[in-house]
Parts: sequence; structure tokens; C-alpha cells
Amino acid sequence: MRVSALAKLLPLAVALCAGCVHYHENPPLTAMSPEKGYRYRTVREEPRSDKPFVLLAFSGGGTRAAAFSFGLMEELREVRYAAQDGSNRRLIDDVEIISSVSGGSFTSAYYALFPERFFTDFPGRFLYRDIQRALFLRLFNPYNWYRLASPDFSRIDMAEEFYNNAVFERKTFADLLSRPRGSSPFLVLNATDIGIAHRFEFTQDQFDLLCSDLSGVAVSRGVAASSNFPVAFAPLTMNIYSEKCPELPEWIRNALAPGGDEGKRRVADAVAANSYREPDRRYAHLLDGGLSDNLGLRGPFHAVTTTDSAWSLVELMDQKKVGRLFVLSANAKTSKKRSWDAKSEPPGIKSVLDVVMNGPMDDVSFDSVEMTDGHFRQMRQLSRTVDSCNKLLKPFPRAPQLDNPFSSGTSRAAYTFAELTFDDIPDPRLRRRLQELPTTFSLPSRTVDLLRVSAGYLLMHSSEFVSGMQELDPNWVPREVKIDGKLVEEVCGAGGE
Amino acid sequence: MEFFTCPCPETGDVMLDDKNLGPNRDAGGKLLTKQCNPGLHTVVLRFSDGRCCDPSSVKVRIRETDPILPMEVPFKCV
Repeated sequence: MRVSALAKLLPLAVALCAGCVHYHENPPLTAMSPEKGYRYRTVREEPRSDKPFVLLAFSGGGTRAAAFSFGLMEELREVRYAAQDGSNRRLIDDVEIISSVSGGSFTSAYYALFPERFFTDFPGRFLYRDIQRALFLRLFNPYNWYRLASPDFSRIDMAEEFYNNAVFERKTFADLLSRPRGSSPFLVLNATDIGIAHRFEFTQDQFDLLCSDLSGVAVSRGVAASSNFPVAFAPLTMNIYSEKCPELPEWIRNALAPGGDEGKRRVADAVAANSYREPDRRYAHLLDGGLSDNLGLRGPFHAVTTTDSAWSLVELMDQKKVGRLFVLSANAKTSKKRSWDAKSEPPGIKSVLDVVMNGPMDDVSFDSVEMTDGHFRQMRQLSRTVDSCNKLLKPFPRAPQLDNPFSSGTSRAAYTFAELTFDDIPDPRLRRRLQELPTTFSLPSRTVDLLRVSAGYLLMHSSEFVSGMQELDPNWVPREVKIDGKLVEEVCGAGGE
Repeated sequence: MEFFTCPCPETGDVMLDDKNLGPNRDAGGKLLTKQCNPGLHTVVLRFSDGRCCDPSSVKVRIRETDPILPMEVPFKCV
């Protein structure tokens, strides 16, 4: 009798206890200071115009993107140039900021946390590991069934726990902050706040809006949010507090000033930022950064075009602290060859869903690349216009020379934007193979090898990157990177691995 | 991108929406052109020795400018 009563009570007890299981809450802010917390200016030394300023953007795309961005880092390690002081520098040491999304966030976060052992540890920790299987197996653990019964603990919290323990060694943003200043790049992990359909950065400037302290948040939580693929995982929750809130930044107050006539983008950004202070917003629910920007390029674009950005490069350019700017985008996008139009039968649900999921995202990505490239072209043109004007004024000694706002010291409008994409692989068979790789957290080891070497190849064959480097150091020549034919044959031959 | 200068007989730091954009003049006294995004901004000229400007702060809509003839946001030392 007693046993049967216990048996009846057991599910109830389990359900009640499961209710106690909770996601890791982001702590409230205890004290606000613009000089504290995980921000560009607390992480990096003041930039100098005599050194290149390198900004990297890593796209989404699971292990494919992680391996591709890792390959870019490997190649940057090899790029050496003669600095103005005569020293021989590695370009990787000039990486100031890495903005990343989804799969690319694993690479960026690991590098920011452990730059000293990144190249030796990360491949085994993540790239060559079957992360997909490890996540899947956790679903079969009865302990996790019990935890997943809680409304405050979901599959993404379970995945985050795994990333935290198995990849990121339980490090938090406080650990990133405790590194010596300038010893690792400023990390910008991008997710999407689905309540307002807006980009969400894991930086203290963003968390100021939530009145929360990012220092107490695990780096894995930012990576999990950034790579939180819809449907496969539930949205990841962040708490919004209403006490000890810092004042909203001045630009938001200006953008929202009544009777204003602001640009739509500025107002949209200000409305999104202001929404965290609305009394009925107590939580922010985050999904994959790819939903708002799958290249990790929107944050950098905002930074190079506005002073509103919390890590504005316009601000640094106005201070004449940026000489040559390199923006390098590792874009691991895929494109499928479709043969639907050869027959009258319409494509099936799976194919249609694939287009629905990826079509708009690819369009936004394309626009992001075009906008960034176009902006730099326009700035170079404006710089040339000022120089031409000064040239025309030269014969008139009483006419003052105009200041060129794009100059810094002796250099002029030195912007380099290079996008690395599989579309630029010349071998059609290899290109198609890379373009058709799936988005997964598990790839065959030789495919990972191929992605790594492809990134190096594309960097050394990027005409934008090469000319940028040669303007920086006229004696610089690109390293010869060959993609091993045997490796290509192994991965692409006879249907690949 | 928009362009503006802060003419003032003295040299101070240009603050735009609480961000320090560096000095308004270079070491040779040449007025420096600053870049910003279009829209309403709060501009302040800040001096390291505690002197104030007139006006102390200006709300100005900066748009439709160019680097040849940047918008002037003038200040006077008091």
C-alpha cells in the first residue's frame, strides 16, 4: 500500500523538483562605470595609427564556419610585415576586434579566451569532435529528461552546459576581462533578440541596457545564444532588471527626441535599445545571430559608419588613432545547385523550407557585404576629392589647405575590405563541394582539413587583401598556399567521404 | 557619413554624444574635420583646464554635409 502511494507520488515529486531547475541567470548590475565591464576600451589598449587595425567577422555555418574561420586565423599567423618602427610584426597580433555569429563564435570565443594555446587546442576541442553526437546523446540521459521538464530549463541550456564544460572550461566574461589588456581581441558574440527581431551583442554596453552585469555570464552562454539554431533548440533567456540601471546613452535620447527627423535605421536601433527599459519587458529571448546577420558584419558596419556604436571606429578615426583598417570577412555560406525548374513537379516541403530558412538570410548577407564594400569605396572617393581640392588650392598660398578627415598621420583613407567565400575557389569541383557542405556540428576530419587550407588559399589570393598588405609594406608578397590535390580528391572524389 | 568642425579660438576636445572625438585643432592650429552619422547630436567642446565654452553644449542636426565644406558648430571660450 505504502509502496504504491509512493509510486503515485513520485512523478509529482519529480515534476515539482524539475520546476526548481533553472537556466544560469545573468546577474544584475551592482555598479555602473563606463570604464568597467567587458567593453572595447577596457579590453584593448588605445589603438595607434602607425599599426594596422584589423577587424574580423566570422560567419555562421556550424563546424564548416568554425573550421573556415580557424583557417583564416592560421593564415593570419603567417602574415608578417615590416612595421613603421622597423620591426617584423605578425598581422594576427593586430587583430583588435572579432565579431562572430553561430559556428564562427566557437572559434572567436576560444581565441579570445585562450590565444596562447588556440592553435594547438581548438582543433581537438571542437573542430574534429563530433559535437552533434555529444549533444544528441545528452537527450538520452534520464537526468536530463527530468531537468528538461522544467519550464526554465531547455535544450539550449543543456547544450550551453556542454559547451561550458567541454569546450570553454567554465570561463566567464570576467575571465576575459582579467586577461592583461591588449592580450586578446575584443570579442563580439552576436545573437538575435527575437522579441524585437534585433541583433544582440554580448558586450557590457548591450548588458547596460538590461541593467545586468556581463562579467557574471559564462562565455559559453554567449556562444550558445549566438549558435542557437531555431527549432533544434528553444530560445535562450536573459533576465532584464529594472534597478540600478545606467542612464541611456546620449545618442538614444537624441534619436528618440520628439519632432526628430532621424534616419530610419538610427530610430530603429534606438527603439530596440530603449525597449529593454519598458516595464513589461523582464526577459529577452535569444536565438541564433544568423537570423539578424549571418556574417557578423552588421556590428562592424555600424562601427565604421556611426558614432552611435558602443565600439565606434568613427570615434577612433576622428581621434586619428586608426591608420590602415582591415575588415576581413570569413563567409562560410553555402549555395545549393537546384534542378527543380527542369520539371513541372513543384519542390517538396523540405526543399521549400530550406529556401524559406536560407533565402532571406543569404539576401541580407549579400547586402551586408555590398554595404560595407560600398561604404569604404565612398570614403576613399571622398578622401580623393579633398586631396584634389587641396591640389587645386596649392597655387594660392593665401587659401588654407583643407583638413582631410580620412587621413591619419601620413596615411590616407586606408581601408581594406576582403570577403573570403567559397565562390572564389577556382576549381569548380572543389568549389561545389564546399558550397554544398551541410550546417552541422560534425564534419569528417579531412573536410575540416580542406576548409582550413581553403581559407588560407582564399586570403592569399584575395586581391583586396594583397593590395592592402602591399600598401602597408611594399615588400610584402603573398605566401604560396596550395590546396593538396590528394586532399581534394579524398573529399570530393567519388562523392566525397 | 557627415562632417563638421568646431571653430573656437582655443583648442579643446570635441565631445559628440558623450564620445571624445579628439581635439578640434591640430598642433599647428588647423581646424580638424570630424566625421559622424547623420542626425541630431549633442556637441560639447571640453577643455582640460576646466574652462567652459559658450554655449556649454549644442544640440545640432548634422546632415547633408561634405568634407570640403563641413558644418560649423562654433564655440566661444568664457
